[in-house]
Amino acid sequence: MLDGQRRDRLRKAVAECLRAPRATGWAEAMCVAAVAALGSVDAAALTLRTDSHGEEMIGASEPWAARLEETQYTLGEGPGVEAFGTGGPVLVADIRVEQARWPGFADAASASGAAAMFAFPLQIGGIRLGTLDLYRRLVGGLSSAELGDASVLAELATLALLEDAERTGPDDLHAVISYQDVNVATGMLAVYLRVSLEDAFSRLRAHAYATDTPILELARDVLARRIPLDRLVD
Amino acid sequence: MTATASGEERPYAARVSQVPHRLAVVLNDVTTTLVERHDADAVLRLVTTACTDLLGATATGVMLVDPRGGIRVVSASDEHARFVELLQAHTEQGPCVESIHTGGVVNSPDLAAETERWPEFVPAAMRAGFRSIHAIPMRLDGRTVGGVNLLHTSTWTLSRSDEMLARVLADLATLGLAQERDLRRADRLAEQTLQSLNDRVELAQAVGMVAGSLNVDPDRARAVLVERARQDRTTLRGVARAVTTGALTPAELAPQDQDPRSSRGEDMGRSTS
Repeated sequence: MLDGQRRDRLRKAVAECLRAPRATGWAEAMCVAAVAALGSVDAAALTLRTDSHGEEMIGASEPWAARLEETQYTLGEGPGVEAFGTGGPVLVADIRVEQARWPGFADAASASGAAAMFAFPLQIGGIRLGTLDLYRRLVGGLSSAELGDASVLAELATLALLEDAERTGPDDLHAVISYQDVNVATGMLAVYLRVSLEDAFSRLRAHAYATDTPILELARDVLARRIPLDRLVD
Repeated sequence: MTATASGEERPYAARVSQVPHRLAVVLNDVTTTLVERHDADAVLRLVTTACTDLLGATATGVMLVDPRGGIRVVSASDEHARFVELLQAHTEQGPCVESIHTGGVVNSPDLAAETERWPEFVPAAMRAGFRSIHAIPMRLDGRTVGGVNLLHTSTWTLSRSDEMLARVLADLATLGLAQERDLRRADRLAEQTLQSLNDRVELAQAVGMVAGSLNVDPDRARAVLVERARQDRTTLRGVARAVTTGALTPAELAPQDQDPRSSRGEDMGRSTS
C-alpha cells in the first residue's frame, strides 16, 4: 500500500529531524521537517489551541509563520482557528478570495506575503489539541500526494506532542510564544470593568483589532498599566 | 417444568455439555491469565495456540499497529523464521493489513484465486507453503489496534461459528494487551494535555482577577492563589476554578492584615495616568 510507504518515509524523515539536538525544541524541528517534506510549502507552525482562548505557539519554522499565528489569535479567525473548530483540514489555495470568510485575516495574511494556507488539526480520537498550519508565498493548492503527506505529518506531530507531554509532564509543555498574558489581562479587565471573562476577552480583542496592535502586546500593556483600562470600555 | 424461553427443546444441562471440553479449557486458561497474572505475552501465546488447536490453523500470527505508524508482528504460533518474515514483510499489502485498515474480517479461503488482489503477498505466501488466510481485526474503543491471522496449508473455509470463535480469541488478545501495554495510553495523555491547557487558561484568568482585585502584580497574585491552595489543602486548579466561576471572590483572598474592601482595584485606571 502506497500510503504505508509514504508514512514510513515521512516517519523516518521526522525522526531524523527530531533526533538532531536543537535548543529550540522538537516542535520547531517538526516544522522544519514538514517544510522540507512538502515541496511547495514555505513555512510551518504548530499551535496548541483550546476552546477557552488558551493558545500557545510551540514551534515555527521561521518568525514569519509565528507572526501569522499571532494574527490568527488576535483576530480569532483564520484557517488554523477554523481547522481546530471543525476538526477537519482547511485548505485555502488563495487567501485573497477569502475576505468574506475571514475579513480581517485574509487582508492581514496577504499583506504579510502569505498567498495560500493549509491547516490540519492535531487530534487523537475525539480530542483536539491544536493545529499544524502550513503557509505558502505563492497562490496554489497542495498536490494530492502533499495533502496525504501533510495529514500524516499532523498525525506525527500529535504523537510527538504526546511523547513530549509524557516525558516532561503535561503541565510542562514548552511554548515558544504563550498567550497566557492575554488570559491574565482578561481576568484583570473582567474585575475592573465588572464584566464576564468572555466579555473582557472580547473587548481586548476588539481593541487590539481597532488599534492594529497584536493582542499579546496589548495584554502586556494592560498588565504593566501602560494603558488606562477605562480606554477598553466598549 | 423446564420452561424453554428460547424455544430450545433440550434441557439446560444437555446444551451445556455441547460446549466442547477443549474450548472450555482454552477460555479458562486465557481468562485466568487475564484476571490473575496480567501477563499479555502469556495471553498471546494461549490465543495463538488456541487458533491452531481449535480452528485448525497451521500457523497463527498476531500483528499490532504501532501508534507511530507501521505494523509489527508480536506473536506467532510458529516461530519458524519464514512465517514471521512473511507477515512482517507484508505490512504494506495483503489480507492482514487490509483487515487492520478496514476493521473487518478478511477471508481468503483460497489464496490462488487472489493473485490480482494482492500481487506481492499471494506468491510469497504460497512459496512459504500457505494456501489460505483469515485475518481477524483486533478492535478497541472503535479503533483497530491489530489483527489475528490464521493461515492454513490447504484451502480452508471458516464456518460461522469458527469465525465467531476467532473473534472471541482476537478480543481476548486485545484485552490482554490493553491491560499490559496500555493501548489507551495515547488517549489518556491527550486528555491530560487538553486538561492542562485548559487549566493554564483558568489559572491565568484567576491570576488576572486577583491581581485586578487586590491591585497587585500577577506574580504576587499567583503567590496568593498558591498560598490559598496550601491553606485549603486543595489544588491550585481547584482554587483557580473557584475564582473564575465566582465561588470564591478575589477579595476574599486578600492577606489577613489587609482590609479586603480597601483593595477592590478602584485606582487601577488612575494608576497609569
